[in-house]
Amino acid sequence: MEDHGLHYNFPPAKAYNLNKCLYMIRNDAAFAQRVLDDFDAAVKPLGLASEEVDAVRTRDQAKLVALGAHPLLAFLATYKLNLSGSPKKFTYF
Amino acid sequence: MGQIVAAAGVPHAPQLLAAPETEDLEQVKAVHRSMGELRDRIAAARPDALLVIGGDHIDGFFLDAIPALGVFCGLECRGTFAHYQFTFKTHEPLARHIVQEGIARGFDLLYTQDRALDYAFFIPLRFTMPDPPLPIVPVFVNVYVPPQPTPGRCYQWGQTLAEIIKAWPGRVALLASGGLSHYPGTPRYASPDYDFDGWAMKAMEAGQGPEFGRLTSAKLDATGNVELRTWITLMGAVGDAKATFLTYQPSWHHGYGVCYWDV
Repeated sequence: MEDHGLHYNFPPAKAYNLNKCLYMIRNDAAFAQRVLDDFDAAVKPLGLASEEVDAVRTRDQAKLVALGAHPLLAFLATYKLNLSGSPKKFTYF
Repeated sequence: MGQIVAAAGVPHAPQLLAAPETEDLEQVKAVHRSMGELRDRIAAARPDALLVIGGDHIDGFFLDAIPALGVFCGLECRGTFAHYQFTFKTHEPLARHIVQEGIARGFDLLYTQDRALDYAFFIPLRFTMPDPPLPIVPVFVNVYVPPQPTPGRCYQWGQTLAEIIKAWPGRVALLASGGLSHYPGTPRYASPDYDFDGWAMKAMEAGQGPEFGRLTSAKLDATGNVELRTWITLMGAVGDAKATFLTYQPSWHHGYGVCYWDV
């Protein structure tokens, strides 16, 4: 089954740690804070390749997806990190 | 003999609950009003349970284990979204019946008594849950993580759900979460496929549900409608019932469609 060229592709197993890192940024508030406070120390235990580390550090969504991150995780994790730096105004319902 | 007494489709975009300044609040409020109408319709149908068909945004289920189809069958189900925390009482006997009958009828379902619910379930319920609240049965369909169940398989699952409901002595309302076109996390985020949505709405209004069971996974992905799988599951259950759209709001990032089917 061809699955390149789709918007959402089968996440490659080699990107599992990268996807896990992004998932933790989104779902684990304490981890997200550690990423903001001391990026290198926070990501060191996760076993990421150096280009994966760079892509997370620079919050480069396109690069993250090219490395095998699921688009939703790349989007939601980077959105969350950016939000802490420049909070937005929301209308809540 | 059980009955499907109401059936509806709704979006669940986070912007409907926590709208940033980039959101057109008039569009959001139009969606809320329509979902309020659905709430009244559902209540008037006097269901015993509200079966909510929803997906996941890699939140409740991570890549360590991705189910294709699943049923939440604990006593309650809960989750969080932004600062919101939510809990819903599950209709546990119906949920258990669906798992048992689904497996017996050849659907290899995941079931969970404890996983957190994603906002795909919470946001629709926030606006459509009657008061007093109904017990729910969350029915999960993998929408975002390939390889997802095919449209054809989702349609078949819906047909089987209808049979399963018939074999249970109660009134069930169906609510499908996640329509219409949107491409979150992709370069096409700012360009929903309004044309496809137009075709889809006409087809639903004409009672052409079976058409959706013949779509391909590639077509759903191409048109920003991977989440239509939940609506397609519902259409399998209601057959050639005709839909009425209460609203379609073409926001800059999401075609917000709200409809009910005549069951």
